Amino acid sequence: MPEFESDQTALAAYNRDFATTCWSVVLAAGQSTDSRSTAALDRLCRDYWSPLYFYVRRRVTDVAEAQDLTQAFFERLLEKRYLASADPDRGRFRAFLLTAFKHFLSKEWDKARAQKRGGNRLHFALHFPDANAEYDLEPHHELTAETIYERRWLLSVLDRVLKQLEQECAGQGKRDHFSHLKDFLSGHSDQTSYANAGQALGLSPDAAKMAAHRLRTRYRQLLRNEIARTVECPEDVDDELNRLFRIFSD
Amino acid sequence: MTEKQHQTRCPSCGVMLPATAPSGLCPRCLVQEAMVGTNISELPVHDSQPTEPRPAAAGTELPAPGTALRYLGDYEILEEIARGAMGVVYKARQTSLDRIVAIKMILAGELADAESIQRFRAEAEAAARLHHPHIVSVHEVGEYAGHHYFCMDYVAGQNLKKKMLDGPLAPLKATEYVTAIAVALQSAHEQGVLHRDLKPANIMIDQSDQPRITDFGLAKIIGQDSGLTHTGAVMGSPSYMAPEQAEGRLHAVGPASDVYALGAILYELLTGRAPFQGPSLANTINQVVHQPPIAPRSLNPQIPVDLETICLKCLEKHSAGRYASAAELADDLQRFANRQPISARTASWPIRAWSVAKNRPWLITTLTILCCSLLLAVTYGLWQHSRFLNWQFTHPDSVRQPGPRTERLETWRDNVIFVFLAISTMALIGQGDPRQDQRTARVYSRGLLFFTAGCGLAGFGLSVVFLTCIIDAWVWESSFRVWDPLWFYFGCYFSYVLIWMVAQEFEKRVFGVRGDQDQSAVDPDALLANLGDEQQQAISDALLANQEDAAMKYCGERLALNVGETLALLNMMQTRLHKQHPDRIDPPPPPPTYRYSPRKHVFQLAILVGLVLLAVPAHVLCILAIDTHPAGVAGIAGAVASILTLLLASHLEWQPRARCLAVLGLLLGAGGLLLVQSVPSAVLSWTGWTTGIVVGVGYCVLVPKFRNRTPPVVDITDGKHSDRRSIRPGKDRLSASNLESDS
Repeated sequence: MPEFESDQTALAAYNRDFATTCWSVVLAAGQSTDSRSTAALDRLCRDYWSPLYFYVRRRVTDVAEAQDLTQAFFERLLEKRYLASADPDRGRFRAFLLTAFKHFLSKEWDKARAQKRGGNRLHFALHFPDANAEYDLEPHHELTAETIYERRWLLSVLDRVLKQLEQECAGQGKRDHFSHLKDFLSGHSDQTSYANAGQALGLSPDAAKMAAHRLRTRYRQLLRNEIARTVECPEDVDDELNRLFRIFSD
Repeated sequence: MTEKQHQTRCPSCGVMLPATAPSGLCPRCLVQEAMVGTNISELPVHDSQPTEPRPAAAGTELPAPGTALRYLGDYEILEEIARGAMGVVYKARQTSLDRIVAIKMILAGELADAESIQRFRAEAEAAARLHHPHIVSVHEVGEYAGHHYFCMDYVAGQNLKKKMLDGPLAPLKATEYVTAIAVALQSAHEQGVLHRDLKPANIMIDQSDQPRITDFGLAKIIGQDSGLTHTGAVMGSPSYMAPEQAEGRLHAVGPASDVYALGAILYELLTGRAPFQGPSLANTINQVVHQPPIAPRSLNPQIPVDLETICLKCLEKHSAGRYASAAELADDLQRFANRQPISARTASWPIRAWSVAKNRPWLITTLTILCCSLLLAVTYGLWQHSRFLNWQFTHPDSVRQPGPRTERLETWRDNVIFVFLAISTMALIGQGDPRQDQRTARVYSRGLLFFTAGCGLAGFGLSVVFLTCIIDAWVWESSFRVWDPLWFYFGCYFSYVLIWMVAQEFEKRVFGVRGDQDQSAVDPDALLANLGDEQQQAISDALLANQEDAAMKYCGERLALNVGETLALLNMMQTRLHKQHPDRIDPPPPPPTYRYSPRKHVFQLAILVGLVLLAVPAHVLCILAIDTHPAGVAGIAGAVASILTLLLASHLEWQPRARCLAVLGLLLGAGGLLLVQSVPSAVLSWTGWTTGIVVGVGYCVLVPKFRNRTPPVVDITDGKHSDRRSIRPGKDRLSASNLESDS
């Protein structure tokens, strides 16, 4: 699994200052020296590089070239090379990233290859071996590159959120709550399973239900916050949720 | 490729679980969990159903929709469909009747204030009065544990706004929808209800493609003063609001305001954007009140003129200028759909005459030509004959033999042949390939149309003069060549073709594209089902190799599909191919909504005029010149250049325009060869056709759009495929060595 930030305070900071860390503010501001928005973009790239890597693995056969492409693209992105692209969908980081990457592939990769720079200028590491292992787990030949990108994006989002949730539970000394109640997050809820969960946790069925309810509420908040990082304004969160819902629907 | 891992399905939703599912949970269910609306948690759960073991305890639990039941009295809530400013709409099942309905509830739930509740009930009451197949009907209004709701039809489908995401609709389709809505609206007005908030988001399209009006949130029952909306308050969506609504003059709001909104919806269906939209509410309202809308045809020239007229009449600022009722609008739209003149503007007599004659054009024209020419010939002949007899009476020694009239005939014959050749070229250019034209959506400027019509009329005039020369020569000098009447007929025929083309273009502008070019009536799936595998493969190969015109020719010639069917089939196949191979093929072109570019048409017009004007005087001069120096070198050079250009053009599959310019050059060259009789005139005419060729070639070379980049791959005409390895991707995609094969 690619590494991620497990910093609770950083998460809290996002929750507080949505507007200033909104990623599209970075691009709109030009060569902004606002460190918080720059940090937001930086963090987003760090968290969501693997969907793009999956996308390029689907399109380019040579693994080494795919890695070079990903690396080079993110270097350029973080040097804010894509300010000029008038992308109508720039409200969504997910779509923006893919469009910018396609633009990079078709126009700039040749030039970038010619003037290959030395060394890695990214501030974070791209864990290719782990990503490769994950890529190879899935049968991809029936899917288009875009579909793979979207799916990987959604899985990354959900991974991050569930990890955060688990960490929070662990922080409150309730790690076993998470492991026994996580099934309820995807909607399996009937009396018997509450009874079983309660038994495993040493709680009555009603108490288990209550705990599950609290867990789900918190999960919902975390997921919405995570999505809010990648959209332009809080109202878009529902819309983005809808789109994500349809990714695995066909 | 790695082996396919054993994959399981999610027990709730049935979707295939990915191997890297987060914590082993189903991603779809996880997202769905987060989508659950927050105010449902405030609803108390109906848990006193002993036969149902599943509902959770009261108050606290919030089961994910679909897996556990939630009750609101008689209704079982299934999922949230939509959320608006004031209310939420859920899909529910009415358990007593076991049918699916939609439940609308106030967003604020228990905390709604009295005004919201009153407004909510007013909406329900207004909607409940209405019974019409195109209006979503309300079944019940009620309150459950402090939550106000009402129950209405559930419409499975999407709203009009979502339908427009792919671009504007075809004019006929838009007309169909708006006519149905207008009829429903009339029924609502007759029952005393004004909608006041018509917009695409409030029109649902159900499974049988019928529109249904919904969301009477701002409806007003005429005559009632609910006391809710205060004068000066602006309610509704500004882009679709009538000016009197936008200004807050509520007493002036009536059925004509709903008609305005319908006009705005029609506008958006045709052009893809609302008539007025601004960066802020205030700006939009200002535009609505003060600025005229942009004419739809300038946004999308394919919109028929009559439809534009109807649309703009609905959008008049003063309600007196609009249709007085929705029924009048529906009637006019119906007239337009039946290709009858609409009431919004009186049809000019040429249009009416054309409507009458359109069903049998060939018969009428043939008869007209024959009758007119016969009439003319006989009249003129008799007149000349009587003059001749008179003259013979006074000159008894005269003999009928070739003389000045014969010479004049010969002179005229030479001129006329040339002009007729030019006209026939223009006619052949203009005919072109109708399928090609439809795909690239050619739009002709009025100037070009008038010029062409003028040439046609001039051709007719010349034919008439030629006819008089023939008759003169025959009557006075009894010299007659059989070919002459044939040349006359040739001239008439092609002049007629030119005028017919102009009339057809005119008809397309006024009434829209119909008949065998209309795509909307075609079912491409049925067409595809009738094709054999080899045929489908041939078309797919052609599309993937960017050989659209080869595919179109294939459909037309080997499959005998008409234009509308060809286009519908190709669009569908291209969409599917794009899904499978997004790197190799683009999605089909959307319906054209480009800005009209007069410059290009003026340019084309200038070329055509220039060529004709340059060449004609040159040849007239030749005719008048008396020396007969064979200056055929210039002619031969011009002819050879034209032939070479033509060969090159057909090999590289240039656009028809380029080919036709080359043909024109060829004809002028041939003409020069035959008619050139003096060096200066030869130079002039040589200049003429060389200019034509050079300009045509330059146009094609410098304007890359008019040049296909790949050589022909699929040889469609005899049904065999050439070697598929010669398919090359376009230049601006990843190089072939990097692309992974998709099959």
